[in-house]
Amino acid sequence: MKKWMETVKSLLYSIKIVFKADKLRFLLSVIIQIVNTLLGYLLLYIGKCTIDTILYSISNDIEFEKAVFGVGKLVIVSFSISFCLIICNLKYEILLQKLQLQLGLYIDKEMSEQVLKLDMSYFDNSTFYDDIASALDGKSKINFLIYRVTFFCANILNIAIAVFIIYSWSLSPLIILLCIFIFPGVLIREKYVTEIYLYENKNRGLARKISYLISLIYEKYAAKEIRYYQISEWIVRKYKINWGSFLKGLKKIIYKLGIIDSLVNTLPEIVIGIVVSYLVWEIIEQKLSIGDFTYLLGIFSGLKDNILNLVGDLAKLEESKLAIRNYKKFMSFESKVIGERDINLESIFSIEFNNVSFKYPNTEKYILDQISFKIAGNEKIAIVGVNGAGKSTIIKLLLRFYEPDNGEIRINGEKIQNYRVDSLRARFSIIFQDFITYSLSIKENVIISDLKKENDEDEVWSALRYSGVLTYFKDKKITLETNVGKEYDDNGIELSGGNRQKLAIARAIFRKADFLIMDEPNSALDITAEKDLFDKIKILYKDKGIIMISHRLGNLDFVDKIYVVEKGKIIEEGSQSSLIKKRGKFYKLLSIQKNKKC
Amino acid sequence: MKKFCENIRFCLMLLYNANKFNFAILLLGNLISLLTPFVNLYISRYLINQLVEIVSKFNQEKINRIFCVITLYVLTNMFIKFWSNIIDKLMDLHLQDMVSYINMMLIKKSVNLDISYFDIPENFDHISKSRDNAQGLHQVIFSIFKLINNFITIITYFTIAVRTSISMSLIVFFFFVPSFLFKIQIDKKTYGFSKKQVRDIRKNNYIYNLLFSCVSAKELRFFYLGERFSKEYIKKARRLTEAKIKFTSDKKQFSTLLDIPSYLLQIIINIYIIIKILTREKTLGDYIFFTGVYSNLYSGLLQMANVLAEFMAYNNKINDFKQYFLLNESNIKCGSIKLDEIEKIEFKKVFFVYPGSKETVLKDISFILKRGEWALLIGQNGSGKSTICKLLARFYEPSSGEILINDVDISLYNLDILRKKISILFQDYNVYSFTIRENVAISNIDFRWNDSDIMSALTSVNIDYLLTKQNSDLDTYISKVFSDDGIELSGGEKQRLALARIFFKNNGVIVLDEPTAMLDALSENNILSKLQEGKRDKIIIMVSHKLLHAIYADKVIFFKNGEIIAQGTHTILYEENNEYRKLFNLQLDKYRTTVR
Repeated sequence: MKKWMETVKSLLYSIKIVFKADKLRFLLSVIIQIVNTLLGYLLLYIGKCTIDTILYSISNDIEFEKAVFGVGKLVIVSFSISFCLIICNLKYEILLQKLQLQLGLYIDKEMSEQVLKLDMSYFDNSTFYDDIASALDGKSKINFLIYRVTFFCANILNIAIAVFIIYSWSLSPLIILLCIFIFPGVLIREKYVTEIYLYENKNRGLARKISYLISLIYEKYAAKEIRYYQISEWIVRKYKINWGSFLKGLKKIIYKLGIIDSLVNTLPEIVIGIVVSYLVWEIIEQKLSIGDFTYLLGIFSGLKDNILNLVGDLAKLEESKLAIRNYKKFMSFESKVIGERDINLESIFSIEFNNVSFKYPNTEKYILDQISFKIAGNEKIAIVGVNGAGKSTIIKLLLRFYEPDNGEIRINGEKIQNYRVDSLRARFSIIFQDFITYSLSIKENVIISDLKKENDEDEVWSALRYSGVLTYFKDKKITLETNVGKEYDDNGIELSGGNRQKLAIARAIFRKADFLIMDEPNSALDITAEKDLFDKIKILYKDKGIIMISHRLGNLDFVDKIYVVEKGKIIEEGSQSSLIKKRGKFYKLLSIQKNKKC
Repeated sequence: MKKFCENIRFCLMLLYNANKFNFAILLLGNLISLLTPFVNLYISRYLINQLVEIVSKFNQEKINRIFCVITLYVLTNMFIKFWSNIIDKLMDLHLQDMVSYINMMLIKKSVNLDISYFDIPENFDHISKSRDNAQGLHQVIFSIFKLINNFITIITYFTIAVRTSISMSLIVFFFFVPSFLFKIQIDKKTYGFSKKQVRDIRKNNYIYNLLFSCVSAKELRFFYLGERFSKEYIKKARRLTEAKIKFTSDKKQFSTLLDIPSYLLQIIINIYIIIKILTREKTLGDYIFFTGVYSNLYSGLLQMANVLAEFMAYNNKINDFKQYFLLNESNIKCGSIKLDEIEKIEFKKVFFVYPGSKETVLKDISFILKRGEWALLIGQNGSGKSTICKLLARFYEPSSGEILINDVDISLYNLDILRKKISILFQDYNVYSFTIRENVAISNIDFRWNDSDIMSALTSVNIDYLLTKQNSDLDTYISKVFSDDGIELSGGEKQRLALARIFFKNNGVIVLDEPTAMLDALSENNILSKLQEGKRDKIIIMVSHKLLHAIYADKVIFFKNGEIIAQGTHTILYEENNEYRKLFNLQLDKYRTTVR
């Protein structure tokens, strides 16, 4: 019972969404459905009249021409109605397509607006991220469910009219009989569908596993190793085992319940037999005409089909219900990072961390442990340390992707929560460690860092030149409009890792900001490219601030101050030379990296 | 037309091979379930005719017969229902078999394809396109059943129609043929249109998915791109769908006009039969019978047009699929000499050009390495260092020159054994979503190992701490593909795990392509020192662009634009080669200035 309540609830929720998305088309489609249904019954009724007229003409020896005229009129009317019906259906189909488009766009819009409100913490935490991913996965199912709502309404209407007609012929006991015979089939079908659904749901991970195994063999990233280690058969075996166990379970359910289901669902045919017998009996008793017979039989078998369809739809809802649940959950997420006041940050004179501690949501370990430091607006600093020391987290807090658990961060002496987030972020430019190369045009890849300047092509060219990627483009037929990657454009170019990074650097340079943040900017560059880049950045950011995050210690001669981070604490700070004199952690790390011979 | 028949035959073969027993039952099932509508038609004609007679003249015997016929009618209908339910379920099962069969075909082929199909972007693009096009192929293939089903329906009704009145059915047929052909054209165009949109839709979805991806989340928020992307997506999605709706609705409206003549024809037929009834040449049962036959025939033809058009529109899906199987399989030469221990590796005037390319990647490469030597291959990105690794792995044949192992040409050795004797860590190594144990063991999967071998490999690369984390052991999965309890590794950890394979395989020859790019200073030093300890009975080839690694090497080979411009010990190169010295100092400078 509770299950059915939930089904009804998700149906009502769907109707609400359709109504919000496109009131007019939704109402229109329901009206057309009503007209369609009524026309359908009218057609049945005219069929009855036709037969009755024919029989009447024969048995009463009506004049030939008059009879032909009388019957012919009915035939013509009936065909015109069915033609109308086709046109109606066509219009309805187009209307539905448009409704579906509106719905799809509505859901897309709602979901994208919602996702953009979410903090970074939702993406870094895998349980939250699973919620986001499953909401996205269910998108098409929700769309389909909502789309089915119109059919569902039409179906109920259809059943109501049929019941009304049968009732008015005082044949209501037959309806009860029909329901009794349909019921067991419904139960079994429900069980069958639910069982298969549950089974598939339980093995949901399997699809993921299988597509992973296949991608290992299809895609290029593992091609070399698979051939080299000769592990293809080993992978194929894994694939077969996974697939085989899934299919075995599925077969078991189909064999067990499928046959019973097929048997029990033949029962409604018996009711039709009883109805036919009853109607025949009434004809023999001279209570009904033959026209009535075809008419009522048509209505009864229509009713049977409609009830079965309705039940089938309800069973199918099981899957969409989950999608609706995921969708509602996703829509209920809220952002926790909100500006407390609306100060516009115009330029940065100082950045200050005061005893800042931070741990990622749902984790125990403090990534940052009471960190304090202060940098001036045009200072160039480096934060160094081994992998996982907490370097990148400092940046995430500074840019307000997360809120610190303790302590405060101040810019120009004011708490950062008091600034508008967008004005704060606009003062920085950044090359992320895990930067993205978008499958868009080269120009778009650059301008996205500052969309206000999107038409300034000279600026784009100069950013490309500074980053060094232009030298690669030189001999090739490449314009700003050339797509990166061939996936969506046959004329696109494939870029190597080094060139992708240079493109990301061009993006960072394109945005004019007070501070440039570089998060491990040089991992894919070779020695000469790296040197070129730093030379250029030194000139470009002469009077501006730089925050550099790195585990390579060899290229830090241009920074004013180095902070060494270990296990969430700053353990050393100072200029490069003072740190070396100190012979502490920095010196130790440096001596490992540098050559023993020098 | 010939191609069309060829493709139908091909689809039938696939369906047959996927599961022979099911295929036979499904074919048979289609035949039986299609005989039924016309049984129904005959029964209802009989019923109506009898009823008409009874109404005019009471007859107990006829009444009994009527109820017998009704029972028969119910029983046949129950049987049909049962049968079609079973067939539906078998179809579901067969579909699963089909998907799996096609996957296996593609897998078997892909595994045997030469590496050059994957390694060279243009080639890979080509094959992945033809493979992607083959996606959803099972649905196209399954439409064969619909096609057969439809075909039988039409034939059945047409035969009934012809049996009762040849002239009339021929008129109907000829009336319908032009509009039938036209409908196929329209449907085909519609399918073609939506196929043309596929790429635009995919690109648009790419933009939409960026909004939800955890990879792009940071940049999206920092650069405030979300609003623009979402607006762009909505705008384009609306445009694409509206274009499609317009295209299809125009065509459909036009094709409805084409239906008018056949409607008129049906009216004429109806009135014709009614006249016959009035003149007592035909019965009321005939009327019901004929209207049933003609309307079924009509809707059958309509459906047929659609199914045919669909099948034809996706013809190239099948062609792409077939094409994939025409690709050349591996043409690497493979001899039968069994390799024992590798004492010496020699490159002798090796030139190499990637298949299908014009650029010579390796020019006149010669060097000799003996057991106990560590060679460092240095040079800028794209100077040909990694290609050396690929040639050693026997992924390609050198274009000219020879590679000798123990003074015998490399192509004369048994390929499987050769690959087992050399450990290679590729630049683009892969960490698999399998367990930690499997991730290490894949480098030597057939070897009988025990867990302590794996543990010692993990210890060698300082990553054994992974196992001390909560609930972690060798059976812990990497990433969440196979288990929700799987752990995520950082870039440095991934590289170390890949390096553990090298220690696990523990071969005489070790080839490392940029093995430390993701490592911090401490781990890098540990691992390389450990390798150095055990190098006495090994040949180690390491590709790097960090020149400081020269301290480990007995021999430095300096590449530039595919040529070796200098080779020798670090001291000799440093003294004799200006370019090497310059580059080396450039890297050293940063450290040196600070040390003084």
